[in-house]
Amino acid sequence: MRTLGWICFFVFVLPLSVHAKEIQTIIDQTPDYGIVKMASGVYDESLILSKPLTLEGVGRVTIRSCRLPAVVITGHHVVLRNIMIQQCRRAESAALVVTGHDHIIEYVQIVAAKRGIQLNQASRTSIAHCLIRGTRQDNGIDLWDSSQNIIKYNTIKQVKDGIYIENSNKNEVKANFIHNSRYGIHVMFSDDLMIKRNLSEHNLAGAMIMGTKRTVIEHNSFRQNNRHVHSQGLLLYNAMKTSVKKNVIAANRVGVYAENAYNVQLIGNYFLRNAIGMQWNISKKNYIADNSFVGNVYDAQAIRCFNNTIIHNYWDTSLKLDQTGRGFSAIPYRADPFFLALTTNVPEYQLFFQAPGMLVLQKLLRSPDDEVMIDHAPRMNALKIEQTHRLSTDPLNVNRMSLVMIVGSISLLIMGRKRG
Amino acid sequence: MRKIWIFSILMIMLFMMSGCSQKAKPVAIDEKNDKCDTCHMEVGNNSFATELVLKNGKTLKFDDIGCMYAWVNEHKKEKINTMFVRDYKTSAWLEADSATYVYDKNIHTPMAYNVISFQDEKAAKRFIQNNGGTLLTYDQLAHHTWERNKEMMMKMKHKKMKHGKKEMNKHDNHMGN
Repeated sequence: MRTLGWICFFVFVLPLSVHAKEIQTIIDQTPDYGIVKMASGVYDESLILSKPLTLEGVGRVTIRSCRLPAVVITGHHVVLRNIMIQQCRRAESAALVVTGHDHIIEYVQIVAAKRGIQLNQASRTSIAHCLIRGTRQDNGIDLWDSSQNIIKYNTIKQVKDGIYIENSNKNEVKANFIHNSRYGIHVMFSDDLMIKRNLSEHNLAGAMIMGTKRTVIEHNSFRQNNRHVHSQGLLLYNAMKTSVKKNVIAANRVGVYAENAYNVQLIGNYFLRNAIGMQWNISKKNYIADNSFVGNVYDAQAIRCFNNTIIHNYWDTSLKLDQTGRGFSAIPYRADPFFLALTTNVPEYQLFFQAPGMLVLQKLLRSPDDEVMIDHAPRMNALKIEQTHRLSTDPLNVNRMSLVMIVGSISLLIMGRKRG
Repeated sequence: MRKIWIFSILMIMLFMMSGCSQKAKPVAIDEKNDKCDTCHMEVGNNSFATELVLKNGKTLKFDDIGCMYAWVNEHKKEKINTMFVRDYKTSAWLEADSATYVYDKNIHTPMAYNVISFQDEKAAKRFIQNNGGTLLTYDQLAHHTWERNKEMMMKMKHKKMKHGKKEMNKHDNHMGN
């Protein structure tokens, strides 16, 4: 049937000055699986795509709508491509509303006053290469009761939550870039999600995973999420059987914060220059291995955590002694809960962070071993991590800066001596 | 002269004691800095926000009434002075024991505990007439199960979908996130 549709191939190229009403009429007249091409121009119209067809912009096509969604997609096999959607400030609904299944939305730019894209009972839909800019009032891409969708290669900025997923299972979120928003990726009560190779930076939190099961979080970069005193790279709350592997978690206030997290696999991640690398609270049966903690002010803290396995991580600040020559230290690393326990009740005590008196107290009031996360065999060297996203302050930058400063200092010295 | 001194000291003591027994007051929500003391999400300055003032003067903030009760159930040894909730319509602060509550799976709150609070019992009943739900008193709320049943939420959403686009927008407005 689909092939038959393609045989009945219709192409409409609309003139620039076409009356808005005609677009909807032409869409309605187009047979199933036909293509409607829109010429460059601005169209003040709210479109409804309710049957399988392709709506494609040729050149710079802008659809503007205020009260209603600019485009509503229902049914199945709708393709929306190369379109720009603009919402005015008094918009009341999402710019693009999608229900149904097997749709493709690609190369769509949205300037949203409210929500960018709303997926509501949508499945097997792909959203790719889209750019969404908001006003921080609502979410960029919002999934409700929508499963098996793929959201990839999108750029989302200045929204509330970049990608918000609730009650939506088996979705894939891949290689998106989300910045300057509240939470980059926010998941609630959704299972079996795949979150891979995303870059989430300069948000309140890189990703918030809450009330989930079997989420896979791999090869992402959560960095510079430090706008807020409570900012985190990744937050796991009530998250079960989560796999967090090979992510770069850099320059956040707290790298990973986990509470009520069970059976989490935290393996091969790179914790770089966070104020606190990871914090664990009321969590058990988790496996934390082969992670590298480099340049964090405080590597790890844990309270009320039991039956966790923590092994073969690299802690750059810990004392190390390799007795066997196998690359693992004989001196265990303890993630002492003292400071976290203290600041949980009275956050103001954070002022005493790393204060000499606090360190003495921590040694005096040593916590029992069964309440402490202990790495019995830390690594001697950090593992190399495949970097999906370049870190903003890589060693090259540091070297370049050092060189500039050395040259500058020498020049000033020479100039000063000449004057003398 | 001595009597005046004694009288002054007594007055000061009385003033201080009256100060000590002053009722706790709710603190304004600061969206940029406040996070929920249970779920760690940002606390929105909306009708879902709640506060709990401890006897030691510390104020805890929550993004959902359910989060506040989750904290209370986990910290039974803590001495609580006052619990504050907000009126669903006006967002005015009110003491939790003076409020009337409505529970329904169809009501969306930030952490899906589905309970909202009203200053006026009549307003709560009006809400139930229009939207459905169960009326709860403060005492009944103490025995509420606080379950977040996402399957039920899904069913309700399906119902909502049947009502069309208008209802979809309503969901957006009701969401605390």
